[in-house]
Amino acid sequence: MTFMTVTQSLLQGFGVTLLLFVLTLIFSLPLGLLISTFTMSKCTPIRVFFKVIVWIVRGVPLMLQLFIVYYLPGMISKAGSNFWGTLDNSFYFDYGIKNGGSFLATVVAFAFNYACYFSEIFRGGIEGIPQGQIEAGQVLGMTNRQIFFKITFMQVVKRILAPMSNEIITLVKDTALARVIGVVEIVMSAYIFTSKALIWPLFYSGAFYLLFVGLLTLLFNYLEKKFSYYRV
Amino acid sequence: MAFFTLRNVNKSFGSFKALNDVSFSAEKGEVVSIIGSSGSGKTTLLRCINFLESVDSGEFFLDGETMFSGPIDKLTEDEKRAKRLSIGLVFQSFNLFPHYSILRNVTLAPELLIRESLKRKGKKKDNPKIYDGIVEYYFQGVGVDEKKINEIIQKKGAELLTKVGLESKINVYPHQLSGGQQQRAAIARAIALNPSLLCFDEPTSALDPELTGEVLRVIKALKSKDRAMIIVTHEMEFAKSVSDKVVFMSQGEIVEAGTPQEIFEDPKTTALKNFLSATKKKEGDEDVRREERPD
Ligand SMILES: Nc1ncnc2c1ncn2[C@@H]1O[C@H](COP(=O)(O)OP(=O)(O)O)[C@@H](O)[C@H]1O
Ligand SMILES: [Mg+2]
Repeated sequence: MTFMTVTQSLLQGFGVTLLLFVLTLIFSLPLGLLISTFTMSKCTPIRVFFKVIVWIVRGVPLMLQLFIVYYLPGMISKAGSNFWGTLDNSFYFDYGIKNGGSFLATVVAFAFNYACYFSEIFRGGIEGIPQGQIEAGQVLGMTNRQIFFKITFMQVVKRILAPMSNEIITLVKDTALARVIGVVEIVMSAYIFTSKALIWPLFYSGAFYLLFVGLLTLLFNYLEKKFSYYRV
Repeated sequence: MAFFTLRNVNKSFGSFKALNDVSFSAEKGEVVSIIGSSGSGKTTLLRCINFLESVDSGEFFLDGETMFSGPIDKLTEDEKRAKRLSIGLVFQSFNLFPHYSILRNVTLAPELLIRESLKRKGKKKDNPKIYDGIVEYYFQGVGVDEKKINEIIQKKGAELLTKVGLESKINVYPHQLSGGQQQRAAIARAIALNPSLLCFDEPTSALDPELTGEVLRVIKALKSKDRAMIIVTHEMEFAKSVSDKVVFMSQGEIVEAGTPQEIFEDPKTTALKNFLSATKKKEGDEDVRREERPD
């Protein structure tokens, strides 16, 4: 087995990893913002309900949540039916994803899990904006919407940059969990070689993570610098 | 009726009565100073006037218009906003927007408002009168040219910042300014919508003593025949020199009101006498401390 074939195989797995990473972010960021507004709602039932949801999602291992998302729909719809499995062949990516259904289930579980983590970061960022600035906006006749987007949100981005970069880097590595329900991401594609008595591809896969996390770190450093023109 | 009239305003927090039957008035062009010890309800009063708190009961009239009559909860957000536009407030802690330059701090609200006003023109939700007043303040007879909005608003913003002595700082961010400069920027922001009532809540209390002078000078220069000003302050010399009327508050009530002469030279109540001698003593202490400082 040559280095090139292993590399090619890992690259294919890394493509799945990246796609999972990107899709999770695309769905969890806006969903997290939405959940954060619910956990700050003035309406007590809504607030309590979403706080409990966030508590559960943050309190249960992500791997368990993957299993729950993967098996639960089948269990409650028809005994023994495999809900996500039926989607396996309904679409096909060129990224080497064979188990389309598993991949979808992973995106759902990850997006919801990360939305809950992000919602707490957003909430901290939003609640950290001094009330005085909001009142200054109100006194100047700004609408609540204008105050949120022109004053609060603009500063939240800077305030949450550090915790968000931590969480996003964790997400890169959490994608490896997807293989427990059969998604062939990079660690899985490396693991497959162990059946041919090749262990080193597993170690090699780590280099892909390191490279990607390194790039993300540079990106976040750049953003932090970009936002250093003001102080909160 | 006077230009500014507050009538029988009451406000409680739970069972605690923060404002008890507060009434006073002012004419256009007048400056009213509110003095009183900490906790006497001065901030609460300004917050009610600025729609940041709702009164339990009482009325507020400005320039012939009813601002509120009883609690403000029944006003819609839109109504509240429109009413607010004729009032400005300068906070003790400046509350500048840290992510915007000083100029942007000043121009943000007028720009949003003028753009909204253009969008609403002729639509079902046509502009409240106050909007036209602000557009007029910025465009002064020149037709509103969509392309020139930014240019005109920025020119006005720079003008206002020049008025408060910050012409060299317009592109600087708040954290790069001294406290006195920040407060002067906040004052420029507060007058950017040309309010007919301008309120100050202890504008110099958060400042080092050597920076209060520049801010007080700016406030004094804002005295204008076109507006009334209400200034909550602990600077007695300033209150004496700038005010047409002084109101003394204690425990949520107006205990004494009158000309600076009457209040400072001829206090009637023991509460005011005690307050004045206490502040005199404190000012004396501060002078001593200032002299003792090694620099
Ligand atoms: N939001 C609030 N909730 C409860 N009590 C308040 C609130 N705001 C002010 N108070 C109380 O009302 C009184 C008057 O406060 P304030 O108006 O800030 O006084 P001043 O500005 O004259 O120092 C104080 O006793 C204060 O504790
Ligand atoms: Mg106060």
